[in-house]
Amino acid sequence: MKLLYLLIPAVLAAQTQKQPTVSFINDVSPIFTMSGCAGSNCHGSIRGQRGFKLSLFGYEPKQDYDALPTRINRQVPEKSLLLQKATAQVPHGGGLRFTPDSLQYRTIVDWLKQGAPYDPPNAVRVVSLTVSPSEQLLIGAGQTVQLTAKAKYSDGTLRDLTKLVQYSSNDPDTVQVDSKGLAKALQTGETSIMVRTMGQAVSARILVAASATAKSYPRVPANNFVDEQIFAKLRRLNIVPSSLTTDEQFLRRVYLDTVGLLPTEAESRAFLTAPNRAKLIDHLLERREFAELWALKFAELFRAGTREAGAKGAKIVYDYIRDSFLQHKPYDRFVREIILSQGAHSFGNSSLEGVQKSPTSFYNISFDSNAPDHATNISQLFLGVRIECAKCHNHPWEKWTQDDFYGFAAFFGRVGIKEVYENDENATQYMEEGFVEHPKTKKRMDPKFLDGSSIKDSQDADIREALVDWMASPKNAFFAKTVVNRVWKHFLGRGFVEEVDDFRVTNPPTHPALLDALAQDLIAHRYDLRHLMRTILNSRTYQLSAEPNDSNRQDALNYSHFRLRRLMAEVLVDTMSQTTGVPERFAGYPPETRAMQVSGGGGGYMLASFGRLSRDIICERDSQPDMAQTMHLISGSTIQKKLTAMKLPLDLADDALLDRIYLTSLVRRPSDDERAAVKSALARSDRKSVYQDLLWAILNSKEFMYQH
Amino acid sequence: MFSRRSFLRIGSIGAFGTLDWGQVLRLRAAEKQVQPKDISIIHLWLAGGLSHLDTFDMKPGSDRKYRGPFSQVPTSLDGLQISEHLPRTAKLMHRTTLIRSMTHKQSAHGTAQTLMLSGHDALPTLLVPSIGSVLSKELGARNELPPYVMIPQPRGNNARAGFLGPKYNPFSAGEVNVAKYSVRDMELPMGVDWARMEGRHSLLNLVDAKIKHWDTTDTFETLDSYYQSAFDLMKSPKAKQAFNIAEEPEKLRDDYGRTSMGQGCLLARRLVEAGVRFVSVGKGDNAWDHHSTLFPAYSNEFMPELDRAFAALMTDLDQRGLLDTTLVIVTGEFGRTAEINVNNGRDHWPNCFSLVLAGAGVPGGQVIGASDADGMYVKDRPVEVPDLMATIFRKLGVDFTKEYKSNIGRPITIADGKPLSFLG
Repeated sequence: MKLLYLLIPAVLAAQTQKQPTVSFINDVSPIFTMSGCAGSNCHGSIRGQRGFKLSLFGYEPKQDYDALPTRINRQVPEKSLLLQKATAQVPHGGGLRFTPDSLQYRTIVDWLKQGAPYDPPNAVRVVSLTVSPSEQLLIGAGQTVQLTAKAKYSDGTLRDLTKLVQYSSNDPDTVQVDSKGLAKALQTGETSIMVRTMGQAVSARILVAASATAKSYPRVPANNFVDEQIFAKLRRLNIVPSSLTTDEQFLRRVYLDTVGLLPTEAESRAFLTAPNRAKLIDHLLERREFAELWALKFAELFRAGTREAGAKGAKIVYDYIRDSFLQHKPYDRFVREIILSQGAHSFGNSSLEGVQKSPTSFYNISFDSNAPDHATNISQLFLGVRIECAKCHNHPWEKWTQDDFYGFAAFFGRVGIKEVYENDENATQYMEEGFVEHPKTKKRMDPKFLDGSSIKDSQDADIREALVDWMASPKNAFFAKTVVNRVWKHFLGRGFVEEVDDFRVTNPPTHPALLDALAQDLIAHRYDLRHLMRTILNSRTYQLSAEPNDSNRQDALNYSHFRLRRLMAEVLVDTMSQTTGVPERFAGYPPETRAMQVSGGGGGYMLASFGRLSRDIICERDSQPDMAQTMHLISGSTIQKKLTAMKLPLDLADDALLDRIYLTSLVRRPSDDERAAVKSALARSDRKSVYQDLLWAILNSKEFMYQH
Repeated sequence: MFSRRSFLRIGSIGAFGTLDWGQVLRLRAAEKQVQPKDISIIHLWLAGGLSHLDTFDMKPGSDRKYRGPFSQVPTSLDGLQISEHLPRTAKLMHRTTLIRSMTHKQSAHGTAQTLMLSGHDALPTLLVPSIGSVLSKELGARNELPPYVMIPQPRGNNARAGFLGPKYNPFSAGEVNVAKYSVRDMELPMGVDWARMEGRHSLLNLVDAKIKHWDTTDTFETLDSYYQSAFDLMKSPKAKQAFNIAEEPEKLRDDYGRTSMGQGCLLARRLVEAGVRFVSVGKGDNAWDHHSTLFPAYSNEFMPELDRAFAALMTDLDQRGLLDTTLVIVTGEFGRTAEINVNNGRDHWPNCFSLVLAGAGVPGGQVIGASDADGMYVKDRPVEVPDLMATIFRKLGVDFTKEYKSNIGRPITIADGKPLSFLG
């Protein structure tokens, strides 16, 4: 039992009966990964370490092999620098990786004794790696599960690699894993264990519940398949969801999330008299403000209006997206139009009167936007894949390589920006000529889809059409899931995958089956985003109270209670305007413009301070509070101007006035304490000041500022 | 021109470089009177990554593909040369410690900034607190001023408080190099006095009572603490004065340079004088990330701006007797590649880079460590970030071996390193 290949009577032994050989690809290279040599912070980093560079997690064994000649000694294997370093017999920055009596050591020695050959071209290779169980529920800290890793080879054989792969926990505080694949629960929660070798990566999801499902676990009614899946997982984890929202709570929440406004007094009274949630949802999804909210969100993702496109360019894009939503344009058609866009950007002057609004400046984010930039943006925006790391080097964690990146970029090799119009007008032009070459090999790339297949570019066709066909194909795993994840996060405050545009094997979703089901449902309904939103909004999951109970207070991943989140900057400003009846003025926009209609960048200090992006990079808004925000709420001009200009119906009696103020700001009735406090203040000060003070308190309150 | 050998000689002289003994004694005497709690930090934060090869660790003898267009000039430290575009700084090198052997392994901005600002590697599930946030928690505020100020403002999460909670986030001073600079929203609105504002505040607490217990994190609690801190700040004449840069003579403002870093450094001096513990001064965003056209950007804008600002700050602190109680640190999150890329820029390079320290008992006239022939790797005396952090915290009297329990119960030591004896 001294040789690895005897321990595991595998494929290679079968090839030559008399003298089994050690394979570099299948036996030696994996040692570099499992021993940590080929990690991104060591010899697997972009430039290697101390002149010795390995491919990351053994992605390119030939490259690893070529790095070895000066570090191995075929005549006296034990004198190989490689082994002396790894066993720390000579000083090694990475310390001891394995000992001379280890399997790893002996495998490498045997390979060296054989003459250290590289595998012949027809040698078998790993084609897939699996880990089982792929999901496991553990009850309580201390419980363990043994993971098993199996590889399938190109000749169809299977091999158990449990002891030869590298394991790592995405959250070592929740579940830890040892080098042999034994995973142990440390605290309640969930995470994934990554399993890597030979350029392959898979993950196992480990859930840790505090206790097994209680006999007394309540029956929770499900409104649709969203609830069935969310509640099934909560039941397994023995976490009881919060109660259903009251009508008042639901009313406020659904208005803010769909149209970015509070209900008017009349709208509130109408709904609360005859509450029909499904009907209200249908109504709101047809409002113009709904289209404006999504126009703003997408325009921000497209970074519309940066650089020379300016405010005019941003407005063209904003209007186009808003109109697309108003026209019920299916999402796949919307994306198709954007990706295929060409022609004048239409934000210039007279020569372009009457030119149809179009999003062609999508490709003109900056003066020097090029094919790799377009590839980066489009993969991240619409496919949830961040392949831009592969621009400079093979992707640190994933399967993307430079070939994949530049192949994908080749779809945009003929996209050009032309200054063909007067008055600073530009145009996106799909040119007859144009290509993308690999920066290292200088090879001219064929357009390559992210699933690995590629096609030939042809002058007669717009090759981007093939790309959008592939993107929107029901078989494509990326496209529908990415938009589902974005929409889900908008309403529930957290994506199944976080960050929302970072789908990777090593960053798995919290509810993979539900994400799939919602994506399939979206495809089956012809990419109708309203259908997706209706499904989410009608679920009990969306309608759960934000008030936690004893069982779900700690849960942050499973939607057991509605997640508190601060309102978007624009919604905050618009609802402040609504509540006081004093609109905000935005420089460069007509009076009565709402923050949600500010289509370009800018919009003033309050919007920027509360997270509106400058659009120079694709990124999530930052919702962390800071003191500058608080100071602006205390004494800044946004609220002060409104309190000064506000005209309250002071002819109303105090009780009626209070009812109205509370209904139009917090969508509830004042408590007895609140009524009493205002009345006692009225006994001391003038009415106008007292009501100004009350409005200041309401606009500063967490109940006003947060979605709940 | 000085040979590479002369650099090595400086590097190996050790603790006191070329200081004369009298200076050493004065330094030691000054050190004795300084209490750790009196020390503040001004952190010149060159986010994006400073090219050591075009500033503090030039390699005139290296290959064409590595060598930039700038020349070196002699400095006030015998045998040391630095870039010609840092002429003012060159006259002050006898007052600084230059480390030419900083090294770490994080080559992305985010993870490298986390490391350089916290001393910890970025963790996937946990945001570690930055130095300024730790100082805020451990030492608290002085003289009604926020303990941790960032000029202009933080970007991303790296300069923030992480699991210590947003209460210890930096206070953003905004861009200082503008006409009539002031901190926004420091004054009560017209017609509202403090009695009325306090009435408003108690009404706010009443409204908040309803959903206060719905928060399962500590966000609401933090928001409450912001109101209290904001009120304290707004009520303090001392704080307002500290931010009033207009009190400075025009001549001095010109000396610092009418630039973001220049006016930022001047404000930083006012702030540490008034009691702020940690002031970060930068140009905002990852301004120093020159993947393309590095050289004209450096010679036309970035280096003159840094040079003026740093030199004026050092001189000003010295003249006011503040240099003994102010630790000045100049660094980016990493260095840049020896190889000049096709766009005439340099890329990220954490394996070896330079960092400058001065003040607060840091010996002057030292060059610590050395890089190899092309400035790619550390050749002598590698300096690791956790050790630097331990040194900084010890200087300020913070027990850096203290363990925090993170929000998920994981223990995190303030700094995992050992103090560097050569920093005094």
